[in-house]
Amino acid sequence: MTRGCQGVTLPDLLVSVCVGLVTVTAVVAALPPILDVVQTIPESTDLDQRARGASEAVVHTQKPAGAGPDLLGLGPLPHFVPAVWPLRLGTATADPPATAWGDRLSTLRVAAGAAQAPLAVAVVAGTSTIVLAWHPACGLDASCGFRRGDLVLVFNQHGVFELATLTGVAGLSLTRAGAASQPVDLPGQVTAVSASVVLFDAVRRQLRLADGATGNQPLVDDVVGVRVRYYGSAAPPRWPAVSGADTCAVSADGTPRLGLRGPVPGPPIELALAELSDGPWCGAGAGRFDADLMRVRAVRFAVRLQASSAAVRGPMPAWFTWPGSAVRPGQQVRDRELDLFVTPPNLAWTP
Amino acid sequence: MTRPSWRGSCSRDGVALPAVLLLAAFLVAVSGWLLGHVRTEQEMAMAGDHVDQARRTAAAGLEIAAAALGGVADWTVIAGLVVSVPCPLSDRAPVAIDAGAETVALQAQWDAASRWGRNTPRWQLAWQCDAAGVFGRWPARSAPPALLVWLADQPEADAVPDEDSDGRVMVHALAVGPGGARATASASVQRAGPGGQVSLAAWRDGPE
Repeated sequence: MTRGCQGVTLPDLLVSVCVGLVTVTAVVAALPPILDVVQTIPESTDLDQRARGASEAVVHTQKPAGAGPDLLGLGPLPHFVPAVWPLRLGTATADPPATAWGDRLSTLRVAAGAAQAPLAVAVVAGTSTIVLAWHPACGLDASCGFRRGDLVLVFNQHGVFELATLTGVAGLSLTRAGAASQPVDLPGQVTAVSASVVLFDAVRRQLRLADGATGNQPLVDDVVGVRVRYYGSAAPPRWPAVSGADTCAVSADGTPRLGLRGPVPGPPIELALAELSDGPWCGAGAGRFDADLMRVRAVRFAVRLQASSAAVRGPMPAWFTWPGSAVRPGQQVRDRELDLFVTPPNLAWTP
Repeated sequence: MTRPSWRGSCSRDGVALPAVLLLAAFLVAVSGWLLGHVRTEQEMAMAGDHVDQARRTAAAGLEIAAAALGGVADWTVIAGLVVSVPCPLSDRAPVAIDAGAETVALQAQWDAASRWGRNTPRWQLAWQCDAAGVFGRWPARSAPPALLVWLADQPEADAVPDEDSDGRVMVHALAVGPGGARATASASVQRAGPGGQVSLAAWRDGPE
């Protein structure tokens, strides 16, 4: 007779039940941490990758800010207009001039070899024609390298500027979209510029990027906070300056018109947003800006990102801007904060 | 006589081994998947570090070259301009770089986009170094990035691309790090005359 085929004895049953219970208990105890790891590691790596992407994009757009129209023999842009702006700059969905916001940042730069030429005729307010004078920077190109669709900066050394998109190019005559909001007197210059706008969309929880001439596009998802701060020298700005003439920042005799903000030489000072939007003013119309923007030498860009899944976000407000359902610490992926301090060489090297 | 048996109820084969094997396979698969994630993350972080190292090397090389130009009395002949800054040898071999091929590639890039015809800038290699030489030490585990610095006359100033007549030149730096990480920095610098202070007209990092 084969005992095994006739059933089990009570001791057999007890032992097997015990072994089964131990096994189930071990599995139940081990499974949640394993599941936590399975859930948190992909979320954590995704968060790190988004943080790196945000950092790269912010630094890459800010570092070359202020590169000037070197082919015209001029200095960096901060000699004429601010290179860093606390608002959405451009021709598409721009913020009102002379405002300042803490969740967005625009920069201007002239790309290497970009089209640039002097103005032949002063720009008259209300008109849309820009007439260029030939310059060796034009090279062999009949339109000095300007093309339809270019974003151009029309400016002079008094701190007067217009930003516009070209709708027509015919030889040395350019046509811009819209009309000039203020006159730009001679001697003035025109250059193709690249604008970068980085802004925080709190509703979509996105960091978005725009080029100033078209709409913006998403850069990084699940961004829950952005704070932009500006730093500058305590010394008053020495630009824009014209020998023998008053500008918004410098008197005709070369004396700065803005005050000292602290000891010079001294550490950089933070420029509050209110200071960047309360005058004294340079320019007029759409090109009006606070002269204190010429003080800016560095930008501090703080951005906070969160894990995409609410299942790995916990309840603590200090660690999670938007709390989630994760209870155990092992289940949680905390918000990441980046604090980027960028000193664009074109601003830092400007006296 | 033995009782007839139903194989399913009295089999000694058991299900433990298949169950253990299945569980082990599941754990191996999950572990492999997680390791893949972590490894990808580490590789991306390392690639980012290499690009960052290359970017810092290019920017530092450009600044050193621009500062050294201030000590050169005559900028007229671009080919004769030498960045006379020593590049100390280090015990770490830098990333290999083909200076000739890089010069050709840089020139081709400018030729393709130029609107200045025969006045298109002609890039002259002025300095070759590496990150260990630029920074004086290289504590990182990876090989130090290689550095090349070129000079060229501004295209619009005169009709001779090999000569400077207005005290304005362009400087371009390329750093190549491990894993093919590349970074460039370029600048236009100017000075009022021989011995004058070198000032910056435009600083850019690539790619534009």
